[in-house]
Amino acid sequence: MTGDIHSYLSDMLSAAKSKGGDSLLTFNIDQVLRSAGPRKAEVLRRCAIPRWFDASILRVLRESDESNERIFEQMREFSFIRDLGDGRMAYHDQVRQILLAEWVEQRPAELTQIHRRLYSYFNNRMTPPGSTRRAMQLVPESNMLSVVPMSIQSDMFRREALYHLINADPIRGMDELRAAFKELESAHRLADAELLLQVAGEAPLNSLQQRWLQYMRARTQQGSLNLEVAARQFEALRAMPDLDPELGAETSRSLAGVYSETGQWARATRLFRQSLEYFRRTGNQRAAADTMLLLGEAYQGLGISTGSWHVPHVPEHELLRYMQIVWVWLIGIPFQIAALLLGPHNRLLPIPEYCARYQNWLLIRLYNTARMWYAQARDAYRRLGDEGGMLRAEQRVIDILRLYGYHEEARAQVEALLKRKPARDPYWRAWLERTLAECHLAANNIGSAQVLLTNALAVFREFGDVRREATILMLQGQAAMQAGNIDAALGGFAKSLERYRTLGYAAARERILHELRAWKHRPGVSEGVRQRIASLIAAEPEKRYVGRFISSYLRLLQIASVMALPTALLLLAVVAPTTNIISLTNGVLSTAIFYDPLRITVALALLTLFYLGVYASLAAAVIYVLPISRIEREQPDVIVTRPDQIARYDSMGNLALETPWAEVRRWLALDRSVWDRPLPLYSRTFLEDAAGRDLAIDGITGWYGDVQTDIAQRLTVAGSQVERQNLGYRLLRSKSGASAVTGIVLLLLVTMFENQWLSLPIWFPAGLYALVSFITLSGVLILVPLAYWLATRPLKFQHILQLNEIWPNVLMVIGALPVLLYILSGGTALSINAMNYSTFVWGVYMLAEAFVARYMVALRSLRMPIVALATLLALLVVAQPTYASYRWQVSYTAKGQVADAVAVGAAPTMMSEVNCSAAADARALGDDALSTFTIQGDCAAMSGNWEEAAGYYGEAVSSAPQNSEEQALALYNQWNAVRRYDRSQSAQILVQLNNLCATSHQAALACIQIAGQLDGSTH
Amino acid sequence: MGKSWLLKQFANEAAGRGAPSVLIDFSDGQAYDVLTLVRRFRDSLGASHFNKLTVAINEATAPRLVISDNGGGGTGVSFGNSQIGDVRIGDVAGRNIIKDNLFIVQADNPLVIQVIEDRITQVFFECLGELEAIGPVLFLFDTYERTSQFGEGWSSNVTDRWITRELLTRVRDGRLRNTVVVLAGRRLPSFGAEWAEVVGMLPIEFFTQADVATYLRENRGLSNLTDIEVQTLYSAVQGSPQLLGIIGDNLEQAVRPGDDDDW
Repeated sequence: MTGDIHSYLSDMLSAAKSKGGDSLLTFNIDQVLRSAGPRKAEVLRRCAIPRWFDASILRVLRESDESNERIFEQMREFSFIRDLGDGRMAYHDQVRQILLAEWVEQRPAELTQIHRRLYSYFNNRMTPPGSTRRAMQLVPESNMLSVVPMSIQSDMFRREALYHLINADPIRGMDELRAAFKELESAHRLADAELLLQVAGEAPLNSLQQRWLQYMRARTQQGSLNLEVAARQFEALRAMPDLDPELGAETSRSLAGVYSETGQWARATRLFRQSLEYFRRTGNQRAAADTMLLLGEAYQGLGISTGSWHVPHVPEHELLRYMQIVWVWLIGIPFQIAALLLGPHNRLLPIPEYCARYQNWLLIRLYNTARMWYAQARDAYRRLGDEGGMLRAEQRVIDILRLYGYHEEARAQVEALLKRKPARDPYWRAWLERTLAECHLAANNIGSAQVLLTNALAVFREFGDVRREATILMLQGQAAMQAGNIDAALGGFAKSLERYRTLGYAAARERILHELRAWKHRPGVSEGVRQRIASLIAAEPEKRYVGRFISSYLRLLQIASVMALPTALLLLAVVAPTTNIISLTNGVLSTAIFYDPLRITVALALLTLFYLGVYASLAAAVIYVLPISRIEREQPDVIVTRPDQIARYDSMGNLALETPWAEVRRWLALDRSVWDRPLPLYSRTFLEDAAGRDLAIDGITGWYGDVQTDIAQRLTVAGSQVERQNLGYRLLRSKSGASAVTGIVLLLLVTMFENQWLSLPIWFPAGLYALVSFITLSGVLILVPLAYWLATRPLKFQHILQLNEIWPNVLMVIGALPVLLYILSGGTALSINAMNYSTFVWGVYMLAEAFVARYMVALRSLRMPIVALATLLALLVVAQPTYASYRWQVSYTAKGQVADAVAVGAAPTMMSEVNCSAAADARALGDDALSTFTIQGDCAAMSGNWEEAAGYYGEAVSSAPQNSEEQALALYNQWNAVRRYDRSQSAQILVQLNNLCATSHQAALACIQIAGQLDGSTH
Repeated sequence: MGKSWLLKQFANEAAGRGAPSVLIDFSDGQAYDVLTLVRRFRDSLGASHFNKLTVAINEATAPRLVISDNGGGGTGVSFGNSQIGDVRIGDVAGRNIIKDNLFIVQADNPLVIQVIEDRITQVFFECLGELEAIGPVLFLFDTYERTSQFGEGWSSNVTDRWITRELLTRVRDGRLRNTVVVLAGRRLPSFGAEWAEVVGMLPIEFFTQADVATYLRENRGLSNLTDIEVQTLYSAVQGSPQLLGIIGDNLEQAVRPGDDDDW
C-alpha cells in the first residue's frame, strides 16, 4: 500500500510540475479511470456526456438494461459526482469538462452517436405517447391569459433533448432551440426561456450560433422589461460585421421594439423598415405583416409624442372669437375643396379644421404613414387568413379615422368589427369598446361612453393590464370632464397619470397632460377649476414639450408669412394708382392720380388666393410630397423638464443639452406678440447656464406658454433668483405698432383725399398736406417698425446670446431686393415715387444690419456707426429726388386747392398760387418736366392767366413724348388757353391736335375725352 | 468541506434550533420563476404559514371572468368561480393547508405577468413577515452563479432579479428584520455601498493538514496513510476539496478495487 501511494504521489507531483493548471485534476481523473477497469471507466466516461443522469439515462449510456440501478447507486461513492435529488446525479463541472474534452479529442464520432441516443431518449420522455399539456384559458375565448399544468420534468427533458440535439446536429438543434424559445417567449415564461438558453450555451457553438444565442438572451431581457440592457445587447449584435441577414433583420426588429417602448420612435421606424425589407425579400409573410403593424404603431407613436391636435387659444371676446372662426374657415378653404373632391369614402385627410393649422401638418403626415402601414398589414393578414391580425390592423385604421374627426364613420366601423369572430375575445372586445367609447365621447354621447368604459375597466383590471387600465381611467376622466363632473374628471386624470408614471409610459402621460391643458385654456372654465388643473399639471414630476413642425419648412413658413405684408404693400403700390383725365374749371383737362378701389380689392383678393395656394402647397408638401425619411430626419426636438433639470433631446432621443435648474444664469425670451400672446412662428426662449450654453425653446413648441410657467415654477422650487427677461415686442401694443397702425390709417385717409372722396380745405397748408401724404405714401410709418421687428431686435437678441443662425442671410436677401430694384429701374420701379426712395433706404438699412451681424460679430461696437453711415449715404442718394418729389406734391396739392376754390367761384389764394410754383422747384431738382409744366399750366389756366398758361402748356407739349396721350392733352390745354386771346394761333394748334388724334393710337382714349370737351367749347 | 457542505450545515443547524429554512441549489436544472420560487419557499418553510399565498396563486391561476354580450353594446362582466384542475378556490385540505393549483401562468403581455407576480410577491412577503415575527427564517442559495445568464460578467436572470429586488432589498431596507439570506457561489453579483450594512462576505477557508488527515483516514478509510504522505497530499491539493475528494477516490479504489465485470 505504502509503495503504491508513494509511486502515485510521485507521479502526481511530477504531473503537476510538467503541466500545471488543472493538470492535477486531470491526472487524478485519469488515475481513477485507469484503476477502475475498462468497463467501469467507460461507464464513468459516458456518464460525463449528459448534463446529469439517472438510472434510466445510465441504461441509455450503457446500452444495457441490466444492473443500472445498482451501478447508479455505486456511482454515489465517487466524490466528483453530486446528488441533485429526485434520483438524479451530475458530475462536478470541471471533471465533466475534462472528460468531455477527451471525448471530443479522441472519439468524436462515438460522442455524436451518444448525443443522438440521448436526444432520442429525452425527446421521447418529454412527450410520452398520449400525454397532453394543453394551455387552458383563464377567460373564455381569450388566449390573452392562460395556464399550463406545471411539469418540471417535462420542461427539463425538453432542455436536455435540445442540448443533445445541438451537439449531435447543430443546425437542426438551433432551429428547434429557436422554435422552443419562441414558444416560451410568446407565453412570457422567461425563467424557462433563460434556462433553455443557459443549457444551450453549454453546447459547443460556432460564431453564428453564438450570435443567435446572444440575440435570444437579449430578447429575454426585453421580455423582462430590462430595456436598457436589451438595447445594449441588440446594438452590440448589430454592430458586428458580417452579421447573418436573418439575424440582422430579427435584431433590427427587436431593437426597434425596444426603441418603440422607450419612445424613440424615429429610431424605431428606421429599424423596422430595414427588417421589413428583409422579410419581404425572403417571403416571410408573417414576419412582414407583424413588422408592418409595428411600423404603423411606431409612426402613430411618433405622432402621439409630437402632441395631439393643436389647441388654439380661444379669445374670451365674442367678436374676436368669430374673427378666429372666419380666419380658420378661410385658411381651411383649400382643404374643404380637397375633402369635397376626395368624397366621403376617401378620408385621406382629417376634417378641414385640423388641416387648416400648420401645427397639425406633421401629425397628419405621421398618422397618414401609420395608416398606410396598418392598411398594408391588414391586407397581409388577410392573405394569411389571420383574422386576429386583421382585426388588430383594422382597429388601428379606425382609430386614425376617429382621430381625423370622422367619429360617426368610425363608430359604424367599430360596431361592424365587434360582430367578427376574433372580437369574442373579451380582452379584444374591451379594447374595441374603448374605441367605440371614444367615438361616443366625440359625439358628446357621454352616457353610452361611460357604460362601455366601466365594462372595459373591469376587464382590463381582471386581466391585470395596467397600461390599458390607465387608458380607460383617462377616458373616464375625459367623460366626466365633458359631463361637467369636475371632481370625477380630475380624479380620473390623476389616477391615470399616477399609473402611467409608475409604468414609465411617457407618451400616454403626455396625452393626459395635453387634455388637462386644453381643458384649462377652454373659455368659460372657472378660475377655481383652472387652479386645480394647474396644480395637477404642476405636480407631474416630468413633462415633455415637442415642436410641432419640421425644422426646414419652419423657416420657409416664417419667411413666407413675414413677407406677406411687404408683398401686399408693394403689390398695391404697383397696381392701385391709375392716372385719370379730369375736367377742371375753364375747360381745363388735367390728369389726376386715382387709387382705384376695385383694383385694390381685386389685388387683395388675388393676393389672398395666392397665399392660400402657397399655404396649401406647403401643407401638401409636408403631408404628401416630402419623403418620410426626411420627415423623420427633421423631427422636432423634445424639451423635458424634471424636478432637477431641463433637457433637450434630438429626434433620435440623443441628449443635446441638459441644464440643472440651479445652474440657469439667464432666462431670455424673444416673444413676438400681436397683442399679448406670443406668435408661435416667431417666438423663442433661451435658458443660459453658467458655461454660456443656451437651451433654446422654439415658440412652435407645443404649449409654449405652459413651458414658461413650468420653468418659472421649477426655478422657484430650485431656489433660483433668475427671472424671465423678454427682449421681444408686441406688434400692436408698442410704439412700432402704433406707428404701423397710424401709417395704415393715414394711408386710407390720404387715398380718400387723393381720390377726391374727401376735399382738402383751401386754407389747409399745401406744404403740410404734401408732407403728410408723402410720408404716408412712402410707407415709412410701416417700413420703420418692419425694420425694427425683422432686423434690429432679432439681431440684437442674436448678438446677446451669440447665436449662429441664418437670419442675417435671410435679411440680406430681403434688403437686397428693394436696393436692386431701385438701381435697375433708376428709381422708377414703383409708380408712387416716395415709395421708391423709402424702400431703397429701408433696403440699405437692412443690408447694413445683416452685414454687421453676419460678418462683424466680433466688432459689434461698430454696428451703430456702420448702420448709421450706410443709412445716411442712402438718404443722401435719394435726398434730391425726394425733395423734388415733395415739391411736386406741394404743387399738385395746390393745383387741387385752386381747382376747388375756382369751382366754388372763389379766387385762388395767393399761397395756392405760390405753392403751384413749387412745380418749378421740382423741375429744377430734376423732376419730370411734362408733369411740372402741366401743373403750372393748370394753375394759371384755372386762375384765368391764359397767356402764362399757354406758355406752360407749350413747354408741356414739347416735353411730352411724341404722339402720346400726354402730348394730346397738353395741345388741347394749349388750344384752350390760346383761343382766349389769339384765334388764329388756336386754330393752328387745333389742326395739330386733330392731326395727332387722327394718327396716334396711343392717344386715342385721351382724344375721345378731348373731342367731348371740344364739342362743349364750340357749342 | 466546500460551500455546498457548509450550506447543508447551516440548514441542519437551523433545523436543530427549530428555525425554518429553505435551501435551493440552482444547479438542479430547474427554472425558477417567481411562482416556482415562492412555491418552493412555501413548501420548505411550512405551507401552513403561507395559506394566503396559495390562495393568491390559486386566484391567479383560476378562471376569473365570465364575459357575456348583453346585446346592449356593453360587455357584461361577472366573476366566475368555475373549477379548473382539481381544486376550487378556497378549497382546504388537511384543515389548515390549502392545495395549490400547480399551474404556470402564460400571457400575451409581459405587463400582465408582472402584475400577477407583483400581487403574489406582495402576499408572499406578508406571509413571510408573519413567519419571521415568530422566529428567524433562513434562505440558503447554492450555486448562485447559475442565476447569471452569462459565464463572464454578471447578467441577472429572472431568479436573481427577484431575489435581489424583492427579498434582499427588503432585508436591506429593514422590512425583513429576522430573515437571513446566504448566497453561495463561485461568482456573485456585486453589491454597492448601500448594501454595506447588511452584506457580509464569508470566504471558505482552506482546510488544514489535520483536516486532510481526518478526511482521508476517517471518511475514506485510509488509516494506513503516514503523516509524511498526508503532508505531501496536503501540499499537492492546495486547499481544493474537489481535488482532495478525487485523490481520496483514487486511493480508496487502489485499496478496495471493485469488480469491473459488474459494470
